Amino acid sequence: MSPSNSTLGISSDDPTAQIKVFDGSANVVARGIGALDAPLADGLYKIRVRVGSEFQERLVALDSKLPQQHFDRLDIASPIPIDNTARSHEYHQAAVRQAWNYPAPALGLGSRLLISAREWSLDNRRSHLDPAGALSIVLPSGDKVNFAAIAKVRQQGDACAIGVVDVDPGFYAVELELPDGSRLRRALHASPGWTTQLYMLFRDAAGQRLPDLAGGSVAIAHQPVVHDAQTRLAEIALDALTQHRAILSDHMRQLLSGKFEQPLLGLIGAHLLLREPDQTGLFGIVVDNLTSMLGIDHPDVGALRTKIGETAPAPVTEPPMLQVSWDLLVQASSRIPGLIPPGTAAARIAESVVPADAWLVWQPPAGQNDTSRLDAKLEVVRAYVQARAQARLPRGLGTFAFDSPIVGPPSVDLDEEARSDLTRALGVPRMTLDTLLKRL
Amino acid sequence: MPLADRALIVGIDRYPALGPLSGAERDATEFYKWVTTAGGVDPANATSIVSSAFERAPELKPWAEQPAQQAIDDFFHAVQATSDENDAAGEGPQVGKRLYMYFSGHGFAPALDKSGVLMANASRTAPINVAAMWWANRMYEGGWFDEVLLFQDACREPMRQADLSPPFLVSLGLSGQENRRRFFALSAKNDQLSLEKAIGGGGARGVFSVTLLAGLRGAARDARTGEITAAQLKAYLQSNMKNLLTPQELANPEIANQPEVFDPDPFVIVGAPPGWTAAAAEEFPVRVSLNGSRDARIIGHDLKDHVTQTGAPDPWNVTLPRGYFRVLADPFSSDVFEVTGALVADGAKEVIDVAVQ
Repeated sequence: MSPSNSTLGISSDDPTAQIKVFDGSANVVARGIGALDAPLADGLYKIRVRVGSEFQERLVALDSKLPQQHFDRLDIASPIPIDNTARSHEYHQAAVRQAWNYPAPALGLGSRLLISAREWSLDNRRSHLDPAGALSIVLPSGDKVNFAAIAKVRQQGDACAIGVVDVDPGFYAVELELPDGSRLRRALHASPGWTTQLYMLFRDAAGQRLPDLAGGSVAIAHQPVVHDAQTRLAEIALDALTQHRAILSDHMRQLLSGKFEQPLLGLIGAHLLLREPDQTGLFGIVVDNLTSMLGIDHPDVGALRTKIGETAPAPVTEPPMLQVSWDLLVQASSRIPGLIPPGTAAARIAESVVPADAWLVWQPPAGQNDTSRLDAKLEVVRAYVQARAQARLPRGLGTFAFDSPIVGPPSVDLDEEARSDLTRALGVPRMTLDTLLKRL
Repeated sequence: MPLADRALIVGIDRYPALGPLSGAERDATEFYKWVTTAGGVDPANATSIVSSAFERAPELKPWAEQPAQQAIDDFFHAVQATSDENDAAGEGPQVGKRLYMYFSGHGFAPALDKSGVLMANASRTAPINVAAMWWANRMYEGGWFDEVLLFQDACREPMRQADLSPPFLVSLGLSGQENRRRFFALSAKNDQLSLEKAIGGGGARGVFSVTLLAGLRGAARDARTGEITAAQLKAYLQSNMKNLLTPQELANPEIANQPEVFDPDPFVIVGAPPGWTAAAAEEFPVRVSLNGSRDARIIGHDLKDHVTQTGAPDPWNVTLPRGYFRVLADPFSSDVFEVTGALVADGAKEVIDVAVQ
């Protein structure tokens, strides 16, 4: 006698929740996004609902009497103190609103930057002597403004420093100075009429508590985003993007098709669409919307435009904010000469890109003669070319060496797969790789 | 002739420029023991690369410490050489059916698909590394093997100077990827530390590796079939790593209490032992609070009776194999509960507490 069947109904307050149902042998027997109705044989099952990096599990006995299984909104991890996140204090949200309402110092007109650096702890007592220290804003002119000069709101408890500044639209960088004197930077693009907001949590680094520049999240909005549901969705989408998870539900597609107000959600959603088959129509719509919102000169938009079939997309002269945008540019630079023109800010940072996760980070040279990042990449290329040459040696010739009298120097005539691997590993565009190969 | 399975096992304790580990080589040695016995890999096809196999570098020359990247490169050169030999012999370029890759040491991860294991001569300024997951994917996609299993017990903190060294072998370009299988398990999620600690009185061990080996040695068997499937091993790792951590360690978000296991392909990692029956499945203690003595029964995931007892005592102590169960003590019933097969830090079996309403 076969077991009777029932429908396991599952819903979640999070429309992007990944839902999986496991049978008694731990096999996935049903999956969905946001909601699921799974016809299954009566029995015992485990439901797992994941949102961002958080998940909930529930064991159920399925029969015809089992009611719909509903999962409440999960508190996700985010450096932005948004509602329904795990590291948010109401007083941090209030501090962001307070900073917003202060008269902002003016370095320009037409756009704004908001920067927040904060501690977080369970007991609300993680103080910091100088939460605004170590950070500065690099202006398009190259001049720097210490974050301390604009961080009008500072609190203890879980310490925070928050500042808002009016600026001209354009390319800015936020710089973190590390205890050893080296520096890290990432891009903040100020778009006309928008406020670009960077939120960071502190973390241990070199024995100190420093803002986690590489892990900080960006939002672009007309107001503080601490209660903005689309910003929370963008954070979930960012996690899906970096962790290669599928979250594109009908709800998300509907949002992307024209109803998103948070440009970051559009940027990240467009990258998620690129991983899906047959999404070119919606992808084009999202990119067009982003172009209208942020402008065609925005490098993250420019990176996406390399994928819409334009034969000669506009050159990208400034580094984008997202690492995946940079990856697209690096990839496209092989087939679109001049995409990253030499001498531009984007070309300059190519030699000093630091391996990172969601956001593009680079380490500016300590001085004109500092080639340490490029030298490190050169060593990787050298070892790679050497190993490739060894792999291609006729058997019996033994281990390859650069000074080998038998075979001479290695060929740097690498095929496309090899060049693609190297650009991906090093995060450098084709022209930078070519420069490195010439230096061997 | 059937193609042989192969294994690369790397365990590095000596990192003069980064600080030593205590249990990486021990874990690698334990994995080697398993893979060359129950894992079915001929010792001649298992390459073990561990710190103690090399002479210690002079104190002032940390960059000379071994094993270095060349040792790993040599393994992949040997893979390619075997491929060439097989091809020349008219057998095609495939090297083996299954490849095991096990790494234990310091590691880093700027991103999910860019995680690396640091070699013994690595330093903060020269983070020489092996892109273990990239290599595993290359072996899988490239067609050298039908099945690739990667187990990486290493931290996944960001390390800003660390550029990955990509795989230097070019894909064989063989068709049939739809028939290939992979199982990749990393000991930590992005940004997290992998903990090693004294477990079971035998010196420091990696929490992930101890859990992994317990699972592979049988604790992750499907109680019905006796097989250790990819799904069962994933579930076992996800459920049981945390049992080896203290409450303080569990409360620290920077310490991994769950592995990162990528959506594995469905396949059998370890077959059932000869003559396996469900009755042979290992059982684990369950203590059922019945709220007084009563007739009770426990049903399994298929809703069939697993244990019944008239006038069961309170508490009712039973043993059950891994799986999902429910207690029915008329007119009461419990929620569904899971027997994960967990061992606690001293090596004893975890007692599952269940209460009927």
